[in-house]
Amino acid sequence: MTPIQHLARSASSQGDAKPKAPVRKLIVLLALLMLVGLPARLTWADNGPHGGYTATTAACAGCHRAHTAPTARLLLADSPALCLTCHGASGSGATTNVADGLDTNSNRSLRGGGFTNVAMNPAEGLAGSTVQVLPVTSNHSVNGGLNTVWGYGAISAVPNPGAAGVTLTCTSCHNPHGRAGTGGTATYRLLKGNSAGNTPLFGTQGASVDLPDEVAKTYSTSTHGDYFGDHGSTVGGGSINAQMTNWCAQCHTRYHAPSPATPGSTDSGDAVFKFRHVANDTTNTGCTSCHPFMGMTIGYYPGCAICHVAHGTGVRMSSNSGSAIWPDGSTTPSGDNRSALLRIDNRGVCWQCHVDRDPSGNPGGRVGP
Amino acid sequence: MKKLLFVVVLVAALTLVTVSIASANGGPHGGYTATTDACAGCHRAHTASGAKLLIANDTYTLCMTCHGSAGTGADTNVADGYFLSTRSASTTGTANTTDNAPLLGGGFINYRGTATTSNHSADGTTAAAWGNGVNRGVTANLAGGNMTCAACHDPHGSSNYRIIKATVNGVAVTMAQVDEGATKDYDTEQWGAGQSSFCAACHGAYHKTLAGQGSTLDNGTYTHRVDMANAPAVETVGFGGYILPLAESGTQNRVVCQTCHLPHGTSAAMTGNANGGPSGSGTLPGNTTATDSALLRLDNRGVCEVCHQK
Repeated sequence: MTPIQHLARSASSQGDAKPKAPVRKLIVLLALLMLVGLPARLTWADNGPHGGYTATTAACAGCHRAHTAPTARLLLADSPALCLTCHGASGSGATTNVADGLDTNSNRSLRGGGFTNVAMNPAEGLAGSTVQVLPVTSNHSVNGGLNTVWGYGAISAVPNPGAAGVTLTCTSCHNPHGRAGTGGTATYRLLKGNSAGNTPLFGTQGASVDLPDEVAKTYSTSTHGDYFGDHGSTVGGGSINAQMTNWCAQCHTRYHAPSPATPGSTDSGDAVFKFRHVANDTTNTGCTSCHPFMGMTIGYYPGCAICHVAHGTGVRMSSNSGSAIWPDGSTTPSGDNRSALLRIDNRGVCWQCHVDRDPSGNPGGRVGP
Repeated sequence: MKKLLFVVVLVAALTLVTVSIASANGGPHGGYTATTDACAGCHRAHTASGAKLLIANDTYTLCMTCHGSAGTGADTNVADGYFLSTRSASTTGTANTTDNAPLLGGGFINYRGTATTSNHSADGTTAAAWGNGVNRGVTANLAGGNMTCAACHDPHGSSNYRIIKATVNGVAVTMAQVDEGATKDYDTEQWGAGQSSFCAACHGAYHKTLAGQGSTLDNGTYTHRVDMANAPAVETVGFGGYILPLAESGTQNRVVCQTCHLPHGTSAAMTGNANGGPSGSGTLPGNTTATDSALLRLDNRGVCEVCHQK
């Protein structure tokens, strides 16, 4: 339990014991609850046609035909075409337009970004920067092409960049029928969890990490187009952005670097992923996972989703960032297409934490050298 | 009320926004913005081959990627000790530095077209420094481990001249910036105050500044004074037309460590007494050999004659 969580629970107990406390105490409680989030309701139902079925459900017909289906699994279309029927640019079956990265309900950018376009402030943090509609420069390609799952597999002294030749679809990550967690519980964004009912993520790699579903679904960023500062929902006592790391690491195994005594300077023994930025969310998923508390940083925290979006980004890469060699040694795609699902242009995500130094040469930033 | 105040402070701490302060340092070494591309020049977040998430196995190799003989990322070729204005896209220093001019700091491998005879070996093989908390003529290990480029320079920028670190060998260093904008002068002295203090961070026993120091017994030996104003108060033209740089020109005209010694490396030749010293043994220091020219700017003891002209 983090200090913040402990504080919140203590405050909550006091509130229960003294229901006639002054109003300002109630404000204190509300403020703290807003900071740490509400307890997760693990039985929250999945949305729309994706779960919560009854004995007289009509949901099946949204995607299946029993006798006239044009594609396998009795589907009306293959993924992603089927999914984009509702979630595409012109889909009317859902408010989550994942093609353009827009929540049409709030008219704000989707937390996961977009697959084709994205509404994003790519220079977040730079004075005068604004939200733009940008073509996606990198995404989790679900268009049927062959991909490499970078970093998949155990630490290897022999160069092994990951699993090549993998075809992704929407259903690689999401279970369209919901109840994707342990014992049929609902999971965050229908992401496959520890349920035997899920198909593998890819190949024979099954999912085992349950991400708690959120109480009230909020699909958009809190500020339209601002991706780095987006905290995501608070589920199970911590930011979903922080908790997502374990889930991502099911495929991107070797990106999941623990918190050694000398982070970034401890040799993993891997030939490719040799020295790695810490990506360990397990010790601290509260506010102090990113923000120093009274000048101190508590625990190592940076989850994958702190720097990267899940679906796609429109950020641009200049010479250094755009020419970064891929884990398999290849040099293409380069330029903007080397954007690696990052949330800010170039290495803006680095700057956000390892912010510039003051004139005296002292670190002026939040964390690290 | 105190509780409410506490919450306000708590929220403020948690939502702390740090303001960036621009650095005057050049290239990838400072002046970072919220969309900086610089990090990727040296670091990889997940696939680094060196510690501190570096793209090279060690610091020296990384620096030489740009500043080495074959580097194209900087005009300052510190391996060979000269400035080549067209080598990189950078225009820093081109206005004030003569093309192909020897660098004011010398070179690590070659200098003035000749192999170096002594250098501050920054490749991680040097563990100790002369007079480092011990008497002159004796070495002691450096506080931060073996010396690399980053032992002296801060690759992320600094308020000091030539991005010299704010703390070197555990000692605070302050060197005035004089030409740290885009108009850097890499071949002519533009030195402000504090030049010797940087050297003294490792070679403290040599940093003696009192008048009459050369005739004052100090821990068993005598040593030349530094940081004094030179007379005449100009860069002296000595035998053969040699000139040695003085710091704070036009005001103090100080003789500093760098007046006689090149920080990176020299190709000066040592012969006769300078090669082996009075004893002829060649035992360091003082009894130098041709393979250890003590980073001197001129052959033998030319640096003495520039000023003393005996």
